[in-house]
Amino acid sequence: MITTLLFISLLGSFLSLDNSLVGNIMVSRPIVVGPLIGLIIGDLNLGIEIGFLMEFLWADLLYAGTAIPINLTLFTTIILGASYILPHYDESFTMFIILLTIPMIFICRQIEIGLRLFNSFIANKLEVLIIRNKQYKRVYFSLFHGLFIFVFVNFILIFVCITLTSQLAKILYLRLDIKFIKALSLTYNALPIIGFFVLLHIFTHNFKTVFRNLFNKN
Amino acid sequence: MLTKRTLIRTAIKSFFIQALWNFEKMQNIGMMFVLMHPLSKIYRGDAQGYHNALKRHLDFFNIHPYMANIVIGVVLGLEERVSLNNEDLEAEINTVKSTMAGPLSAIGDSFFWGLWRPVVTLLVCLAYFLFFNVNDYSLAGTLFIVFGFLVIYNIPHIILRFKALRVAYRQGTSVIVYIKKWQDFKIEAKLKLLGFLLLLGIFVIFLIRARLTLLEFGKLLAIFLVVEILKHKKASTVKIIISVLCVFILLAYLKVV
Repeated sequence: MITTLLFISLLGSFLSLDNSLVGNIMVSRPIVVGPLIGLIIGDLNLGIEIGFLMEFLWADLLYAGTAIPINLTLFTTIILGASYILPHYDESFTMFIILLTIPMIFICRQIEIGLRLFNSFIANKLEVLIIRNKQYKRVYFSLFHGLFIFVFVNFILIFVCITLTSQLAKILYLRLDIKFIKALSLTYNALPIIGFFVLLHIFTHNFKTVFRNLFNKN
Repeated sequence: MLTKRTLIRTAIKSFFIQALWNFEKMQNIGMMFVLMHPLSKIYRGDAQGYHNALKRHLDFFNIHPYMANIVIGVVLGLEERVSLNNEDLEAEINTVKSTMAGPLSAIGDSFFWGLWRPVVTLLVCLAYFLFFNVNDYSLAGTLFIVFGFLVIYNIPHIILRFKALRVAYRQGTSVIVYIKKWQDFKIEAKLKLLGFLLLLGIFVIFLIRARLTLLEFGKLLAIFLVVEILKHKKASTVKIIISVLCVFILLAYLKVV
Protein backbone atom coordinates (compact mmCIF):
# COMPACT_ATOMS: atom_id res chain seq x y z
CA MET A 1 0.00 0.00 0.00
CA ILE A 2 2.75 2.46 0.92
CA THR A 3 4.50 1.89 -2.43
CA THR A 4 1.29 2.61 -4.33
CA LEU A 5 0.71 5.68 -2.19
CA LEU A 6 4.21 6.98 -2.87
CA PHE A 7 3.75 6.28 -6.57
CA ILE A 8 0.43 8.16 -6.63
CA SER A 9 2.04 11.12 -4.84
CA LEU A 10 4.96 11.14 -7.27
CA LEU A 11 2.69 10.88 -10.31
CA GLY A 12 0.40 13.63 -9.00
CA SER A 13 3.32 15.95 -8.27
CA PHE A 14 4.86 15.41 -11.73
CA LEU A 15 1.52 15.85 -13.52
CA SER A 16 0.82 19.05 -11.59
CA LEU A 17 3.89 20.61 -13.28
CA ASP A 18 1.81 20.73 -16.45
CA ASN A 19 -0.81 22.79 -14.64
CA SER A 20 1.04 26.06 -14.76
CA LEU A 21 4.76 25.52 -15.25
CA VAL A 22 5.73 23.14 -18.04
CA GLY A 23 3.94 22.14 -21.23
CA ASN A 24 0.32 22.96 -20.53
CA ILE A 25 -0.67 19.97 -22.64
CA MET A 26 -3.41 19.27 -20.08
CA VAL A 27 -2.10 16.01 -18.63
CA SER A 28 -2.77 17.72 -15.30
CA ARG A 29 -6.52 17.94 -15.88
CA PRO A 30 -8.77 15.75 -13.67
CA ILE A 31 -10.18 14.03 -16.76
CA VAL A 32 -6.67 12.61 -17.35
CA VAL A 33 -5.39 12.34 -13.76
CA GLY A 34 -8.59 10.65 -12.47
CA PRO A 35 -8.63 7.65 -14.84
CA LEU A 36 -4.81 7.25 -14.58
CA ILE A 37 -4.82 7.09 -10.80
CA GLY A 38 -7.97 4.97 -10.91
CA LEU A 39 -5.97 2.52 -13.00
CA ILE A 40 -3.13 2.46 -10.44
CA ILE A 41 -5.36 1.99 -7.40
CA GLY A 42 -7.42 -0.64 -9.23
CA ASP A 43 -10.67 1.31 -9.05
CA LEU A 44 -11.47 2.56 -12.55
CA ASN A 45 -15.07 3.38 -11.62
CA LEU A 46 -14.04 5.86 -8.97
CA GLY A 47 -11.15 7.24 -11.05
CA ILE A 48 -13.33 8.04 -14.05
CA GLU A 49 -16.20 9.28 -11.92
CA ILE A 50 -14.05 11.67 -9.87
CA GLY A 51 -12.14 12.73 -13.02
CA PHE A 52 -15.30 13.77 -14.86
CA LEU A 53 -16.85 15.34 -11.74
CA MET A 54 -13.83 17.50 -10.95
CA GLU A 55 -13.45 18.48 -14.61
CA PHE A 56 -17.07 19.61 -14.88
CA LEU A 57 -17.33 21.23 -11.46
CA TRP A 58 -14.28 23.43 -11.95
CA ALA A 59 -14.43 23.86 -15.73
CA ASP A 60 -14.51 27.64 -15.36
CA LEU A 61 -11.29 27.83 -13.34
CA LEU A 62 -8.53 29.64 -15.27
CA TYR A 63 -4.87 30.44 -14.66
CA ALA A 64 -5.33 33.94 -16.09
CA GLY A 65 -2.90 36.76 -15.32
CA THR A 66 -1.62 36.57 -11.76
CA ALA A 67 -4.47 34.37 -10.52
CA ILE A 68 -3.45 31.17 -8.72
CA PRO A 69 -6.60 29.03 -8.49
CA ILE A 70 -6.87 25.79 -6.54
CA ASN A 71 -4.78 22.95 -7.96
CA LEU A 72 -7.19 20.41 -9.45
CA THR A 73 -4.44 17.84 -10.02
CA LEU A 74 -3.70 17.77 -6.30
CA PHE A 75 -7.41 17.80 -5.49
CA THR A 76 -8.15 14.75 -7.67
CA THR A 77 -5.03 12.87 -6.51
CA ILE A 78 -5.77 13.42 -2.81
CA ILE A 79 -9.42 12.32 -3.12
CA LEU A 80 -8.47 9.14 -4.99
CA GLY A 81 -5.47 8.43 -2.75
CA ALA A 82 -7.56 8.74 0.41
CA SER A 83 -10.28 6.54 -1.10
CA TYR A 84 -7.60 3.94 -1.86
CA ILE A 85 -6.30 3.77 1.72
CA LEU A 86 -9.74 3.22 3.22
CA PRO A 87 -12.21 0.57 2.19
CA HIS A 88 -14.62 2.22 -0.19
CA TYR A 89 -17.98 2.35 1.56
CA ASP A 90 -20.37 4.24 -0.70
CA GLU A 91 -21.18 7.63 -2.29
CA SER A 92 -21.59 9.36 1.06
CA PHE A 93 -18.08 8.31 2.07
CA THR A 94 -16.57 9.66 -1.16
CA MET A 95 -18.49 12.91 -0.63
CA PHE A 96 -17.13 13.09 2.92
CA ILE A 97 -13.58 12.71 1.59
CA ILE A 98 -14.24 15.47 -0.97
CA LEU A 99 -15.45 17.74 1.85
CA LEU A 100 -12.39 17.01 3.98
CA THR A 101 -10.09 17.69 1.01
CA ILE A 102 -11.55 21.16 0.27
CA PRO A 103 -9.81 23.01 3.16
CA MET A 104 -6.56 21.15 2.45
CA ILE A 105 -6.59 22.20 -1.17
CA PHE A 106 -6.85 25.86 -0.12
CA ILE A 107 -3.81 25.38 2.12
CA CYS A 108 -1.99 23.81 -0.86
CA ARG A 109 -2.91 26.91 -2.88
CA GLN A 110 -1.28 29.17 -0.28
CA ILE A 111 1.85 27.01 -0.40
CA GLU A 112 1.88 27.30 -4.21
CA ILE A 113 1.75 31.09 -3.87
CA GLY A 114 4.73 30.78 -1.51
CA LEU A 115 6.58 28.76 -4.15
CA ARG A 116 5.96 31.50 -6.73
CA LEU A 117 7.41 34.02 -4.27
CA PHE A 118 10.44 31.77 -3.91
CA ASN A 119 10.67 31.76 -7.72
CA SER A 120 10.99 35.56 -7.56
CA PHE A 121 13.99 35.12 -5.28
CA ILE A 122 15.63 32.64 -7.69
CA ALA A 123 14.82 34.86 -10.70
CA ASN A 124 16.31 37.97 -9.08
CA LYS A 125 19.48 36.12 -8.14
CA LEU A 126 19.74 34.76 -11.66
CA GLU A 127 19.30 38.20 -13.18
CA VAL A 128 22.27 39.51 -11.22
CA LEU A 129 24.41 36.54 -12.30
CA ILE A 130 23.51 37.07 -15.95
CA ILE A 131 23.92 40.85 -16.06
CA ARG A 132 27.12 41.06 -14.01
CA ASN A 133 28.91 37.77 -14.62
CA LYS A 134 27.37 36.64 -17.95
CA GLN A 135 26.65 33.20 -16.48
CA TYR A 136 24.04 32.23 -19.09
CA LYS A 137 24.18 28.50 -18.39
CA ARG A 138 22.88 29.17 -14.88
CA VAL A 139 19.44 29.62 -16.49
CA TYR A 140 19.18 25.85 -17.01
CA PHE A 141 20.20 25.14 -13.42
CA SER A 142 17.81 27.72 -11.94
CA LEU A 143 14.92 26.59 -14.12
CA PHE A 144 15.25 22.94 -13.17
CA HIS A 145 16.02 23.85 -9.57
CA GLY A 146 12.67 25.71 -9.43
CA LEU A 147 10.85 22.80 -11.05
CA PHE A 148 12.47 20.26 -8.71
CA ILE A 149 11.40 22.24 -5.64
CA PHE A 150 7.85 22.45 -7.03
CA VAL A 151 7.67 18.68 -7.60
CA PHE A 152 9.23 17.90 -4.23
CA VAL A 153 6.90 20.20 -2.27
CA ASN A 154 3.83 18.87 -4.12
CA PHE A 155 4.96 15.28 -3.51
CA ILE A 156 5.15 15.94 0.24
CA LEU A 157 1.84 17.84 0.18
CA ILE A 158 -0.03 15.06 -1.62
CA PHE A 159 1.41 12.38 0.64
CA VAL A 160 0.63 14.29 3.84
CA CYS A 161 -2.86 15.33 2.67
CA ILE A 162 -3.80 11.77 1.63
CA THR A 163 -2.65 10.41 4.99
CA LEU A 164 -4.38 13.18 6.93
CA THR A 165 -7.65 12.98 4.97
CA SER A 166 -7.87 9.22 5.26
CA GLN A 167 -7.17 9.27 8.99
CA LEU A 168 -9.70 12.04 9.60
CA ALA A 169 -12.30 10.26 7.47
CA LYS A 170 -11.67 7.02 9.34
CA ILE A 171 -12.23 8.66 12.72
CA LEU A 172 -15.08 11.01 11.85
CA TYR A 173 -17.19 9.08 9.34
CA LEU A 174 -18.20 6.34 11.79
CA ARG A 175 -19.41 8.99 14.26
CA LEU A 176 -21.65 10.73 11.73
CA ASP A 177 -25.39 10.81 12.17
CA ILE A 178 -27.34 8.64 9.70
CA LYS A 179 -29.24 11.70 8.46
CA PHE A 180 -26.00 13.53 7.77
CA ILE A 181 -24.76 10.49 5.85
CA LYS A 182 -27.99 10.52 3.82
CA ALA A 183 -27.44 14.24 3.04
CA LEU A 184 -23.85 13.47 1.96
CA SER A 185 -25.08 10.76 -0.38
CA LEU A 186 -27.67 13.08 -1.93
CA THR A 187 -25.07 15.84 -2.35
CA TYR A 188 -22.75 13.43 -4.16
CA ASN A 189 -25.59 12.61 -6.56
CA ALA A 190 -26.20 16.33 -7.07
CA LEU A 191 -22.56 17.00 -8.07
CA PRO A 192 -23.10 16.19 -11.79
CA ILE A 193 -25.99 18.67 -11.82
CA ILE A 194 -23.77 21.39 -10.34
CA GLY A 195 -21.16 20.52 -12.98
CA PHE A 196 -23.84 20.76 -15.64
CA PHE A 197 -24.67 24.29 -14.51
CA VAL A 198 -21.02 25.36 -14.43
CA LEU A 199 -20.74 24.30 -18.09
CA LEU A 200 -24.12 25.80 -18.98
CA HIS A 201 -22.97 29.16 -17.65
CA ILE A 202 -19.78 28.95 -19.73
CA PHE A 203 -21.70 28.37 -22.96
CA THR A 204 -24.62 30.70 -22.28
CA HIS A 205 -22.57 33.66 -21.07
CA ASN A 206 -23.53 36.68 -23.23
CA PHE A 207 -25.85 34.32 -25.09
CA LYS A 208 -27.81 36.98 -26.98
CA THR A 209 -24.75 38.96 -28.10
CA VAL A 210 -22.91 35.81 -29.20
CA PHE A 211 -25.79 34.54 -31.34
CA ARG A 212 -26.56 37.95 -32.79
CA ASN A 213 -22.90 38.17 -33.88
CA LEU A 214 -22.93 34.62 -35.20
CA PHE A 215 -25.80 35.19 -37.58
CA ASN A 216 -24.91 38.77 -38.43
CA LYS A 217 -23.32 38.67 -41.88
CA ASN A 218 -21.73 42.10 -41.52
CA MET B 1 18.30 33.83 -41.20
CA LEU B 2 17.30 31.22 -38.64
CA THR B 3 17.03 27.66 -39.88
CA LYS B 4 13.93 25.49 -39.61
CA ARG B 5 15.76 23.34 -37.08
CA THR B 6 16.48 26.32 -34.82
CA LEU B 7 12.84 27.39 -34.99
CA ILE B 8 11.64 23.89 -34.11
CA ARG B 9 14.06 23.79 -31.17
CA THR B 10 12.78 27.19 -30.04
CA ALA B 11 9.17 26.00 -30.30
CA ILE B 12 10.01 22.93 -28.18
CA LYS B 13 11.72 25.09 -25.57
CA SER B 14 8.67 27.35 -25.48
CA PHE B 15 6.91 24.59 -23.50
CA PHE B 16 9.10 25.77 -20.60
CA ILE B 17 8.21 29.46 -20.85
CA GLN B 18 6.33 29.40 -17.53
CA ALA B 19 8.92 27.30 -15.70
CA LEU B 20 10.15 30.04 -13.34
CA TRP B 21 6.92 32.05 -13.28
CA ASN B 22 7.03 34.59 -10.47
CA PHE B 23 4.94 37.48 -9.19
CA GLU B 24 7.56 40.15 -9.97
CA LYS B 25 8.47 39.73 -13.63
CA MET B 26 6.37 36.65 -14.40
CA GLN B 27 7.74 34.85 -17.49
CA ASN B 28 10.96 36.87 -17.90
CA ILE B 29 13.34 33.99 -17.16
CA GLY B 30 11.23 31.59 -19.23
CA MET B 31 11.31 34.00 -22.17
CA MET B 32 15.06 34.35 -21.88
CA PHE B 33 15.44 30.57 -21.72
CA VAL B 34 13.43 30.17 -24.94
CA LEU B 35 15.34 32.93 -26.73
CA MET B 36 18.87 31.89 -25.69
CA HIS B 37 19.41 29.43 -28.53
CA PRO B 38 18.03 31.48 -31.47
CA LEU B 39 19.73 34.64 -30.17
CA SER B 40 23.08 32.82 -30.00
CA LYS B 41 22.59 32.05 -33.72
CA ILE B 42 21.54 35.59 -34.58
CA TYR B 43 24.43 37.21 -32.68
CA ARG B 44 27.07 34.65 -33.69
CA GLY B 45 30.49 36.24 -33.14
CA ASP B 46 29.03 39.27 -31.34
CA ALA B 47 29.28 38.48 -27.63
CA GLN B 48 28.28 41.99 -26.51
CA GLY B 49 25.27 42.03 -28.85
CA TYR B 50 24.15 38.64 -27.49
CA HIS B 51 24.57 39.84 -23.91
CA ASN B 52 22.58 43.04 -24.59
CA ALA B 53 19.83 41.07 -26.32
CA LEU B 54 19.47 38.66 -23.38
CA LYS B 55 19.43 41.60 -20.96
CA ARG B 56 16.55 43.13 -22.93
CA HIS B 57 14.44 40.05 -22.36
CA LEU B 58 14.92 40.00 -18.60
CA ASP B 59 12.21 42.63 -18.30
CA PHE B 60 8.63 41.91 -17.24
CA PHE B 61 6.76 39.65 -19.63
CA ASN B 62 3.56 37.68 -19.33
CA ILE B 63 1.47 36.01 -22.01
CA HIS B 64 -0.78 32.99 -22.48
CA PRO B 65 1.75 30.14 -23.02
CA TYR B 66 0.16 28.96 -26.29
CA MET B 67 0.28 32.43 -27.83
CA ALA B 68 3.85 33.16 -26.69
CA ASN B 69 5.36 31.86 -29.92
CA ILE B 70 3.68 34.60 -31.96
CA VAL B 71 5.52 37.22 -29.90
CA ILE B 72 8.73 35.15 -29.91
CA GLY B 73 8.63 34.95 -33.72
CA VAL B 74 8.13 38.70 -34.10
CA VAL B 75 10.87 39.42 -31.54
CA LEU B 76 13.33 37.14 -33.35
CA GLY B 77 12.65 38.98 -36.60
CA LEU B 78 13.31 42.31 -34.91
CA GLU B 79 16.47 41.01 -33.21
CA GLU B 80 17.73 39.89 -36.58
CA ARG B 81 17.28 43.43 -37.92
CA VAL B 82 19.17 44.79 -34.91
CA SER B 83 22.07 42.38 -35.48
CA LEU B 84 22.28 43.09 -39.23
CA ASN B 85 21.81 46.84 -39.36
CA ASN B 86 22.66 47.84 -35.82
CA GLU B 87 19.28 49.57 -35.82
CA ASP B 88 18.18 51.11 -32.58
CA LEU B 89 15.14 48.93 -32.08
CA GLU B 90 15.57 48.16 -28.41
CA ALA B 91 12.57 50.27 -27.37
CA GLU B 92 10.50 48.87 -30.23
CA ILE B 93 11.19 45.27 -29.22
CA ASN B 94 9.93 45.85 -25.69
CA THR B 95 6.93 47.85 -26.95
CA VAL B 96 5.99 45.05 -29.38
CA LYS B 97 6.26 42.51 -26.57
CA SER B 98 4.07 44.44 -24.17
CA THR B 99 1.46 45.58 -26.71
CA MET B 100 1.00 42.14 -28.27
CA ALA B 101 0.94 40.23 -24.97
CA GLY B 102 -2.35 41.65 -23.66
CA PRO B 103 -4.69 40.96 -26.61
CA LEU B 104 -3.05 37.60 -27.39
CA SER B 105 -3.41 36.48 -23.78
CA ALA B 106 -7.09 37.43 -23.86
CA ILE B 107 -7.61 35.30 -27.00
CA GLY B 108 -5.67 32.37 -25.50
CA ASP B 109 -7.51 32.46 -22.19
CA SER B 110 -11.00 32.78 -23.63
CA PHE B 111 -10.54 30.43 -26.58
CA PHE B 112 -8.29 27.60 -25.37
CA TRP B 113 -9.00 27.47 -21.66
CA GLY B 114 -12.41 29.11 -21.56
CA LEU B 115 -14.06 27.27 -24.46
CA TRP B 116 -11.96 24.72 -26.31
CA ARG B 117 -11.14 22.71 -23.17
CA PRO B 118 -14.76 22.38 -21.95
CA VAL B 119 -15.95 21.59 -25.48
CA VAL B 120 -13.37 18.79 -25.86
CA THR B 121 -14.27 17.46 -22.40
CA LEU B 122 -17.94 17.32 -23.39
CA LEU B 123 -17.10 15.75 -26.74
CA VAL B 124 -15.11 12.97 -25.04
CA CYS B 125 -17.83 12.54 -22.41
CA LEU B 126 -20.58 12.26 -25.03
CA ALA B 127 -18.55 9.80 -27.13
CA TYR B 128 -17.86 7.76 -24.00
CA PHE B 129 -21.57 7.64 -23.13
CA LEU B 130 -22.43 6.57 -26.65
CA PHE B 131 -19.75 3.95 -27.31
CA PHE B 132 -18.95 2.47 -23.89
CA ASN B 133 -20.94 0.80 -21.15
CA VAL B 134 -21.08 3.44 -18.42
CA ASN B 135 -21.91 0.90 -15.71
CA ASP B 136 -18.88 -1.22 -16.47
CA TYR B 137 -15.73 0.87 -16.68
CA SER B 138 -13.05 -0.81 -18.73
CA LEU B 139 -9.41 -0.27 -19.57
CA ALA B 140 -10.37 0.55 -23.16
CA GLY B 141 -12.78 3.19 -21.90
CA THR B 142 -10.11 4.69 -19.65
CA LEU B 143 -7.61 4.88 -22.48
CA PHE B 144 -10.28 6.36 -24.73
CA ILE B 145 -11.01 9.15 -22.23
CA VAL B 146 -7.35 9.97 -21.54
CA PHE B 147 -6.00 9.82 -25.09
CA GLY B 148 -9.18 11.08 -26.74
CA PHE B 149 -9.08 14.22 -24.61
CA LEU B 150 -5.32 14.78 -24.95
CA VAL B 151 -5.19 14.22 -28.72
CA ILE B 152 -8.24 16.31 -29.65
CA TYR B 153 -7.31 19.13 -27.29
CA ASN B 154 -3.67 19.33 -28.32
CA ILE B 155 -4.05 19.27 -32.12
CA PRO B 156 -4.77 23.03 -32.45
CA HIS B 157 -2.47 23.78 -29.53
CA ILE B 158 0.60 22.09 -30.99
CA ILE B 159 -0.10 23.38 -34.52
CA LEU B 160 -0.36 26.89 -33.13
CA ARG B 161 2.89 26.59 -31.16
CA PHE B 162 4.96 25.44 -34.14
CA LYS B 163 3.29 27.23 -37.03
CA ALA B 164 2.80 30.56 -35.27
CA LEU B 165 6.50 30.83 -34.54
CA ARG B 166 7.44 30.30 -38.19
CA VAL B 167 4.75 32.63 -39.57
CA ALA B 168 5.43 35.36 -37.01
CA TYR B 169 9.18 35.16 -37.65
CA ARG B 170 8.64 35.60 -41.39
CA GLN B 171 5.80 38.14 -41.32
CA GLY B 172 6.89 40.27 -38.36
CA THR B 173 4.30 42.57 -36.83
CA SER B 174 2.00 42.09 -39.84
CA VAL B 175 1.08 38.73 -38.26
CA ILE B 176 -1.63 40.80 -36.55
CA VAL B 177 -3.61 40.47 -39.82
CA TYR B 178 -4.00 36.73 -39.11
CA ILE B 179 -5.25 37.48 -35.63
CA LYS B 180 -7.80 39.91 -37.09
CA LYS B 181 -8.94 37.15 -39.45
CA TRP B 182 -9.38 34.87 -36.45
CA GLN B 183 -12.03 37.21 -35.08
CA ASP B 184 -13.78 37.31 -38.47
CA PHE B 185 -14.33 33.54 -38.39
CA LYS B 186 -16.43 33.95 -35.21
CA ILE B 187 -14.86 30.76 -33.88
CA GLU B 188 -15.67 31.53 -30.26
CA ALA B 189 -19.38 32.01 -31.00
CA LYS B 190 -19.43 28.76 -32.97
CA LEU B 191 -17.69 26.90 -30.14
CA LYS B 192 -20.19 28.26 -27.64
CA LEU B 193 -23.02 26.95 -29.82
CA LEU B 194 -21.29 23.57 -30.21
CA GLY B 195 -20.67 23.34 -26.46
CA PHE B 196 -24.29 24.17 -25.73
CA LEU B 197 -25.51 21.50 -28.17
CA LEU B 198 -23.15 18.87 -26.71
CA LEU B 199 -24.36 19.67 -23.21
CA LEU B 200 -27.93 19.35 -24.41
CA GLY B 201 -27.06 15.99 -26.00
CA ILE B 202 -25.58 14.65 -22.75
CA PHE B 203 -28.65 15.84 -20.85
CA VAL B 204 -31.02 14.12 -23.28
CA ILE B 205 -29.02 10.85 -23.07
CA PHE B 206 -29.14 11.08 -19.27
CA LEU B 207 -32.92 11.61 -19.30
CA ILE B 208 -33.48 8.66 -21.65
CA ARG B 209 -31.21 6.27 -19.75
CA ALA B 210 -32.19 7.31 -16.21
CA ARG B 211 -35.94 6.76 -16.80
CA LEU B 212 -36.88 9.12 -14.00
CA THR B 213 -40.21 8.93 -12.22
CA LEU B 214 -42.25 12.11 -11.88
CA LEU B 215 -41.11 12.53 -8.26
CA GLU B 216 -37.45 12.08 -9.18
CA PHE B 217 -37.86 14.56 -12.00
CA GLY B 218 -39.37 17.04 -9.52
CA LYS B 219 -36.36 16.58 -7.20
CA LEU B 220 -34.04 17.12 -10.15
CA LEU B 221 -35.81 20.35 -11.04
CA ALA B 222 -35.60 21.52 -7.42
CA ILE B 223 -31.82 20.96 -7.38
CA PHE B 224 -31.61 22.74 -10.77
CA LEU B 225 -33.41 25.70 -9.30
CA VAL B 226 -31.18 25.95 -6.19
CA VAL B 227 -27.97 25.62 -8.22
CA GLU B 228 -29.17 28.09 -10.86
CA ILE B 229 -30.00 30.71 -8.23
CA LEU B 230 -26.57 30.29 -6.60
CA LYS B 231 -24.76 30.29 -9.94
CA HIS B 232 -26.66 33.40 -11.00
CA LYS B 233 -25.37 35.11 -7.88
CA LYS B 234 -21.86 34.15 -9.04
CA ALA B 235 -21.26 31.80 -6.11
CA SER B 236 -18.10 29.67 -6.40
CA THR B 237 -18.38 25.90 -6.91
CA VAL B 238 -17.24 25.23 -3.33
CA LYS B 239 -19.95 27.55 -1.99
CA ILE B 240 -22.58 25.84 -4.17
CA ILE B 241 -21.54 22.36 -2.95
CA ILE B 242 -21.64 23.46 0.70
CA SER B 243 -25.02 25.18 0.17
CA VAL B 244 -26.51 22.10 -1.50
CA LEU B 245 -25.19 19.94 1.36
CA CYS B 246 -26.74 22.31 3.92
CA VAL B 247 -30.10 22.14 2.11
CA PHE B 248 -29.97 18.32 2.11
CA ILE B 249 -28.99 18.20 5.79
CA LEU B 250 -31.97 20.41 6.59
CA LEU B 251 -34.30 18.28 4.46
CA ALA B 252 -32.92 15.07 6.00
CA TYR B 253 -33.57 16.31 9.53
CA LEU B 254 -37.04 17.47 8.51
CA LYS B 255 -37.54 13.96 7.12
CA VAL B 256 -38.46 15.32 3.69
CA VAL B 257 -35.82 13.21 1.87
